Amino acid sequence: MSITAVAFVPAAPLLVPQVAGGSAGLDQPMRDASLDVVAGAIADRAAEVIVVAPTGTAARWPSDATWDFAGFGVARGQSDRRPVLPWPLGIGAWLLDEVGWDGPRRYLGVSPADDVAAATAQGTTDGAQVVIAVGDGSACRTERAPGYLDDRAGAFDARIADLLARGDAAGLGGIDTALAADLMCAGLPVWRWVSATVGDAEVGAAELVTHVAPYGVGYFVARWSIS
Amino acid sequence: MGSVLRWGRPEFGPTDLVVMAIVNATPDSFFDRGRTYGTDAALDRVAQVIDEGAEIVDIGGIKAAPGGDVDVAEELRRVLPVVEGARERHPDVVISVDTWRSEVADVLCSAGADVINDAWGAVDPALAAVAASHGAGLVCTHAGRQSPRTRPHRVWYDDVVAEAAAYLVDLAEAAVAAGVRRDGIVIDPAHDFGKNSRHSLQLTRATDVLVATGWPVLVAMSRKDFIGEVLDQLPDERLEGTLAATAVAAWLGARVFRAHDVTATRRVLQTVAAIRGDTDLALGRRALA
Repeated sequence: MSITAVAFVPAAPLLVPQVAGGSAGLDQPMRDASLDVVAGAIADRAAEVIVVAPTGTAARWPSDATWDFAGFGVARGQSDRRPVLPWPLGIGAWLLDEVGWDGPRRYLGVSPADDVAAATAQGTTDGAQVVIAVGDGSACRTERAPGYLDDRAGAFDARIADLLARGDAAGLGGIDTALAADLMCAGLPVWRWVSATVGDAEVGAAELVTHVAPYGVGYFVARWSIS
Repeated sequence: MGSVLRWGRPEFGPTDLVVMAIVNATPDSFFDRGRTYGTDAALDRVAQVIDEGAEIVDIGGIKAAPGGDVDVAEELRRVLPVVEGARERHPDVVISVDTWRSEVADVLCSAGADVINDAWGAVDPALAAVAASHGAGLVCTHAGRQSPRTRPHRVWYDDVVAEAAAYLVDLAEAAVAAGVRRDGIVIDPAHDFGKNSRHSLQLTRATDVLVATGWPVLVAMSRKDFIGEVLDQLPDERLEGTLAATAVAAWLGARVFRAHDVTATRRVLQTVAAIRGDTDLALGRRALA
């Protein structure tokens, strides 16, 4: 196991300015923070970057796969024959493009139904690897939230924020899955995968850069360095 | 050329552009926020919109957005007296009821409703049979398979137009199979329901694709978020955007227009009909004397 760093970023489509349209500037601080943690994670020239994101079913995509947000009604305006990633992985791919990562990539889709151990074995190889973990917390923080207000959402997200801030990998693996489903938490399978993959390795440094919920969805930007 | 639509007493021909006025028997709908809540206020609204030129009134008792539970009894408490009163006072107006519940629709059709506006898209499989048993019309809706009163979240369509068209044709044919009159069925792509704003714009742009299915198309766009997001405006400032979308949809073949602003919508549709050559001038004097 050779994970050297994990960058935690939101799974919000509006992170991509082409998707956000004219309001892209509203979320620029979160976008900047996400780009910053991704750039920091790859700064030591990792052998490979693994993007892990929630998808309907567990699957892998090749290094040359690319993002496309046409299903949100956004035309990319370019055509090539590369495989197209499911959009949550596409967010990770877009971030890597933006920070100029031209090394090898691996894309791993995970779902709440996954066997975590099997998914973990699929994801990792020898060599220094950086993980971009795409996911977010509850979608029930306010009455205007996608999942309406759930009184449990604030505490749920606060716990996620605390785990990320403390670099608590084991804790990330212990999130209440039923509660996460109730709260429409997109990050659960991703964080379980990170937890299992990091395993007993020591998180040398952890920083929660941002935790905000401007639209009722709990967004987190965080970075871990793994010793 | 489309077919004749028969709802209640009137018949609407293929080139008729018809206004369905929104009558909210709700305390909390997004635009009027309770202004027409209560039987008297709702019936005043019914009279007003008929006076303004609405051929159809669409009476609903539950706001679309999430919120406190409104059970069957409460929905009927809000809506039934409005339907009864509207039927008694306006025997010729088409009364549509906006509900997804078959037991509610059954009571309201017995009270005189002509059409069931199934705005959440057949979540109650018994609804079409209720329409059939009363000889009522039915609005078949593509709500993106969302549960009633839930918000779309990160919804993705490989092709929203193709999906909506195929889904709506299936729904309409299923309604026919359940016994609903073929000439009482319309399809509604349900702007914003189970969709982001770009999806709603795509569907507006492709109204002609829906029209090409052969089913009459109803559009419900009034002051919705997709208009708001085009303009970055709150509901009070979405009239012009709504009317622009109304004109485009009418030009592309939509026939029924669910609207808050009846007079303005009526004038837009009258102008579109004249541009198409389907109606004559209301006044022909300019340079003709």
